[in-house]
Amino acid sequence: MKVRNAIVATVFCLFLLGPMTLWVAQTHWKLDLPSDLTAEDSTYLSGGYEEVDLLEHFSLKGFSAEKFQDDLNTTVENSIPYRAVILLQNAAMQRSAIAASNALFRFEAYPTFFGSEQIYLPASDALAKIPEHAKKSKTKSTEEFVDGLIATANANPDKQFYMVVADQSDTSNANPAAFLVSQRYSTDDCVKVLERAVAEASNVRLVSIRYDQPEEYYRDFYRSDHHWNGYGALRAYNALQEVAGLSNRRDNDAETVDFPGIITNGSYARKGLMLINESAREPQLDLTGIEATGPRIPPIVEPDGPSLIHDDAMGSVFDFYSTWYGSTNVTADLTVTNSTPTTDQKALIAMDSFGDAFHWLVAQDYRDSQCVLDLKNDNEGPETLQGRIDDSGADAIYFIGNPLAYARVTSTHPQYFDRP
Amino acid sequence: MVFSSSVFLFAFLPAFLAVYFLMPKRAAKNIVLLAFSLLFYAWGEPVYVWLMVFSIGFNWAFGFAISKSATPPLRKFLLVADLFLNLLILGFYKYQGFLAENVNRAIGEEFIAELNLALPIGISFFTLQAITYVVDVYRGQVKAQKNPLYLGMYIAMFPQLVAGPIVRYSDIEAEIDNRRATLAGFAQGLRLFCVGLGKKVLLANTAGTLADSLLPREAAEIGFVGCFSGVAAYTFQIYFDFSGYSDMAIGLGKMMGFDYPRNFNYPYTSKSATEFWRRWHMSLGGFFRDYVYIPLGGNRVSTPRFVLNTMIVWGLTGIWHGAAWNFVLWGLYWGVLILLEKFFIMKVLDRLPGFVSHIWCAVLFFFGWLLFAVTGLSNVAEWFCAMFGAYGFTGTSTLWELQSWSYVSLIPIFIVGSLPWAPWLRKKLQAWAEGDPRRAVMAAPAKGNEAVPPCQAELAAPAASPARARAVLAVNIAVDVALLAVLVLSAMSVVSSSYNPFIYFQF
Repeated sequence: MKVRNAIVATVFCLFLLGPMTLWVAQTHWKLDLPSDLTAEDSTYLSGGYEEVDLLEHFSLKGFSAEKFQDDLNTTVENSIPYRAVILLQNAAMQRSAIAASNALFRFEAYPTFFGSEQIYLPASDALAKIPEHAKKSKTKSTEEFVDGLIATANANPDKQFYMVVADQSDTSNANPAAFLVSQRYSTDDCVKVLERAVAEASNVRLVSIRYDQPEEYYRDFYRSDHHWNGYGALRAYNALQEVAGLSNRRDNDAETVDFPGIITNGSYARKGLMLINESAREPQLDLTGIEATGPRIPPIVEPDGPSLIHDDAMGSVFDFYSTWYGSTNVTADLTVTNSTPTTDQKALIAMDSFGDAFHWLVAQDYRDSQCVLDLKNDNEGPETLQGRIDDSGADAIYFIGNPLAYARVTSTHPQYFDRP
Repeated sequence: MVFSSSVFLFAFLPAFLAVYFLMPKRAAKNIVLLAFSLLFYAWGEPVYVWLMVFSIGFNWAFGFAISKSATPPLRKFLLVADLFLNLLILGFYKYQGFLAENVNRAIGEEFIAELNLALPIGISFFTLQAITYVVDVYRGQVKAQKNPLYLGMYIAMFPQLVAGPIVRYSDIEAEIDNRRATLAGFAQGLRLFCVGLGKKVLLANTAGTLADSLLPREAAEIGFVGCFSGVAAYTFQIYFDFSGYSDMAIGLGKMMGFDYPRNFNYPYTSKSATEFWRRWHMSLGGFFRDYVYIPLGGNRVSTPRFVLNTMIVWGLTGIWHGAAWNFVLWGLYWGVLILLEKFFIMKVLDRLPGFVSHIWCAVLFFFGWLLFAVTGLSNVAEWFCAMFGAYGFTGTSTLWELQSWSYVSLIPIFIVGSLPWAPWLRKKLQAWAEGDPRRAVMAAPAKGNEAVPPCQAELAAPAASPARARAVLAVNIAVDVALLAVLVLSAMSVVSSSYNPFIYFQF
């Protein structure tokens, strides 16, 4: 009994002391620890980690302001070894329990862990988001967007306005969970509201490729990310050309770019704590004569291919879409120029990260394209759409985003459609 | 700070244990315990630590003054003054908003300003602990503590500060100066700590995910399935949460050599409301019995007075749990049930098969938690109607989106976790190993107020054979391995609960 008590007590104490020992080893003994034992371990999953100096707020004042407590909390979190494995395994255990429950019900989708908003679709081996609720409020705010757009379009009759709606999983009919919820807000609902703008302003066009089947959807969208891939963007662009009467003769789908040895995971994998590890394949766009300038130039214009944000031990790469098409800087304000455009016009492209893949295609038609990425994070540019139009001298204005982005504009930018 | 947090498990607790056990003398250990307790208390709300220090100071002073006073009226005056001050502080911080809201609503204008005070952590617990000290000093049941630091250690002691059990000064009076921390006690305490951590993190938090998603919603939205599963999830959540926290507190106490009283004894196995309250939050029931009910006259009074005393106690029990009418109603609900059982129902229950009594009690605590968990009396009424199908099977939602179905595989685990199979198996094992067939047959769930049993099978007599002794050893080793696995799994869950992907990557 005595020996057993001693062993149990020792194991218990060593377990509790582990993170503190690792922290001391790293910060005081300056040991170069393997990344599995440091905060770096889970950065590919969480997107980064906050480095803190524990002594900075080690004072009565720091304690009273609860800053020291926050710092210590962060330090402990950063010192948990194998954090990524812990996070993924804990979610996997919960998912096993959920899958066991689902054996009785046979639903086509279930949460990736208890309380998760991400769902796993076993038939497609893909992740999606729980379909959006609050149909009424989203319809109303999208109507406000339409009102503003109609007013702006009518005030600028010499300019063309385009709306491109991406069929993101939380509003798509291709998400099997779409028919498992009540009061859902769908891409169809959004498009129905946006159609009023087309009816009431002759210079407004609308494009939306909508999907009904998961197989079709996951050809054009990543299986673990909310974004479309290059094929999804290209399909929408081809539809846009038809609607807009553009005549771009570039061959954007002549070749497929493969990324051997790279498996990717996207935002759903990160938030759902479930790795899908899909292979990346993208269409090779014809970017002859196209250059981009801005706070962060996307790697697509670099001849050597993409620069990856993380190549961890498991071989997973998060946010491949952003890395490849380039919106890692969420408030990027890019200028894309084209030395061989099909028109001599300028374009303004705004809304959300679905535009990342799209603006390389739109830029093929224009001499100069101003890209505002991402509108919901844009706090620096002109505050009104008219201001943006005047500032850029754009002849064509593109909104490219998912249905929720259209519903969000007037709440994040209440003044967006104000007229001078 | 809470026990189920990374900073407690991996910084506070190891630092405390290291410093505490490095201290050679009892006095130094007491001071270390006080210092860490105040640090623990100040962690989330630094400013309120002064309230704690004030409470320690005046309770020590009043206790000391009462013990030195030989004049009964003066002693009584000092006691009343101390109680008044304790209850004033508790009332101000906990009930000011409730009082203001109700008075202002009654007179139709803002007569009392609502101060929106943050509730000092553990104030309901440490106030009652302080009261037991001063009252027991007044009654002459304990000696006044001369050292204010030691009294401070008792009032602020971090293991039971936040969620009990309510430890009376008399429970640990001797241990303040003369306790022995042994390896066996330390190991027993940490085993109990692992059990409690597992209950809190693995069971309560999981059940809580469902309860938290359903309880704030309207009955019409979620229908029978949502309301039923919301209350059922809360039923498990509150038991595992509260009893888990108590187990951790008792375990931490044991590691230092303190023997705290047991707080939960498998309440969901009760056969009546009366039994339920002998098994649920036993230290609170004991407090109200000894410091309110008996001073009011107990049951040695006329029937109308007995009924009044009972309802006063249960009204106070209700409002102690929270400043809202829900809690008052919940307390009175139990008071009425206990009276009904005493005068009428118990006679019937005693004649019925045991399973009927279990179902009776399960229905009682289930609807009791409905009153407790759902905020707003009109919401409670709607939820009650939903339980009987007023809003259909799933309300305006679908079965899938309620998510209750995803917890189905955990129901057996929750039920097994609420039952006393572990002590039952342990007694069976001990009886078998000792070759005592009579005890093996009679082995049954423990009842009544007793110390928390150890997590290991300990033989009181020599084993009947070496093979049986080896079997007990193997089971004990397996239990230790399982408990350490629970510790690891709980830690994984604690780490995961803090996962918060950078917003930068969310788009």
